[in-house]
Amino acid sequence: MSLFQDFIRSLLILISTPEIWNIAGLSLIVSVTAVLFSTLIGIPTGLIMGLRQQHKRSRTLLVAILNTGMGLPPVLVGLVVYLLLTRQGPLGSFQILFTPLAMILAQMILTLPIIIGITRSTIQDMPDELPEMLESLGGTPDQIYWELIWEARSGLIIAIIVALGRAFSEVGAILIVGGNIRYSTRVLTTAIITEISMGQRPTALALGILLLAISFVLTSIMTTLQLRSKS
Amino acid sequence: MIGILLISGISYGIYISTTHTSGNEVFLSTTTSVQNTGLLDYLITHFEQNHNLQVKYTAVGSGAAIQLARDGEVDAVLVHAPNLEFKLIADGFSDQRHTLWYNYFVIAGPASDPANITTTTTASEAFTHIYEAGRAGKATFYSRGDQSGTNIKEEMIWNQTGYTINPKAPWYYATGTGMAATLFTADNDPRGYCLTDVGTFTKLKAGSPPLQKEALFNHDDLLYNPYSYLIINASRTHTSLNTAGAITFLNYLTDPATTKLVSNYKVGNFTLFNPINSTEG
Repeated sequence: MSLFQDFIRSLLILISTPEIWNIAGLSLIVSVTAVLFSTLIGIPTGLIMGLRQQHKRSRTLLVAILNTGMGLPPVLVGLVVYLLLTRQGPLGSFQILFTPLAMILAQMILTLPIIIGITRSTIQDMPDELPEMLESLGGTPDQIYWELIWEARSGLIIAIIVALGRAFSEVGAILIVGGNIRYSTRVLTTAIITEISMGQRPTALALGILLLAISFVLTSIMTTLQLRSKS
Repeated sequence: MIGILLISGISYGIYISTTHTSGNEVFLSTTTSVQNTGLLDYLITHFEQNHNLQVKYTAVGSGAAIQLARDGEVDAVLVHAPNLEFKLIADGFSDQRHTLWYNYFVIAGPASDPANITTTTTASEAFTHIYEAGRAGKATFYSRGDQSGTNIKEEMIWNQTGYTINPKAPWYYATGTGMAATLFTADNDPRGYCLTDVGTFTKLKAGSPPLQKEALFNHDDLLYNPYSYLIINASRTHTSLNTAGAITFLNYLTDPATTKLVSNYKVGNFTLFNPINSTEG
């Protein structure tokens, strides 16, 4: 059971190392920021798509594309964002490759289809007569949209939980566009890769547990909100 | 509204704190072995104590590291792929190759040595034994398969054997992963052999849990493994690079006090990298 003892020792050393909290902090900042932007863009987009859906049934292709987007391969997204941001690429003049901004951009692309997709499906599943009823009550389009979002909030929170989970645990894209640079773009997932390649499996395992613990806290907060929104 | 302001604030903060301020930061791309062994982090920590210059690097394997240099992303490279380095100079991306350290590649395999390579005298003969044992179903070979310095060295040795490798051969596996991952994959196979730099091998031998493989063959000049530092020409990449910073870091790396740190950087009593200092144009 020496692996277990090594693991416990690694866990204790880890949580007393300031560098780990910087790494965990960056993981949180990158994922949460990416999902915030995705939510701001994705909820209105999903809302509109969900409402149109009720009138037109010929949108199978669009929805199929959107649903494929929910499972975008992170390494492909990483490569495409790399090619966009490389200094000779179309967005090269911003010089943000190998910075947290590039990582946020990649994770936004990964999480946006999830937010749009789940929002669309939640809105579509609401009773068809709800928008008309709101309209007949004299609501302006703005009020109707807010009311629909409010009614759909439970599903929308699920969308955010799924997106956060995807972003926080993702490694392929941020490794390519962030470069896993120590004190700069190293996050929990890429730190685990580094520790494995240095032969430090107990440390890697301890980092994994830390990742899972933070993920649990984050998801618990969102779940509390989601369950409350149902009552 | 508050949310949007908050987000703008956060992103602006991140932008400010992360934008390349080329005056006080050097960015390198490197082979994975200098990271996996911990040497580069050790040297950078020491460097930053005495210099007002930050050194950052991304460890990606020599082939990818040199591609980043060609893309104009990095100020310098620290790699071990001499042929790619000469090509980089020939293409005008760098003027000089500063060889800083060397060690050896070793052929790692199971202690039982089913291909019987410990009795051989050259790397080419050892690979021939692996090839023949492979065809007989007694051994397997794990290639990096990723155009890294190690992968290029494997191909060089296969060329010398006169055999052409069929990549679909049932005993030949191209992992397409880094040195450590390839070693762990080979380690899982009791018949598995692979070529590795001695630094990564020794580090993983002392890892937790330790690697089972043994270093079975290392005595051939062909297995010489030099690590070189090349500063990239901004005039060729047409990007803004911190050449002055790259030179400052080079001066530190070739400083006698630093080479002493390198020769004292050991796992057990084994020196992972031996300093030399030679410059070729």
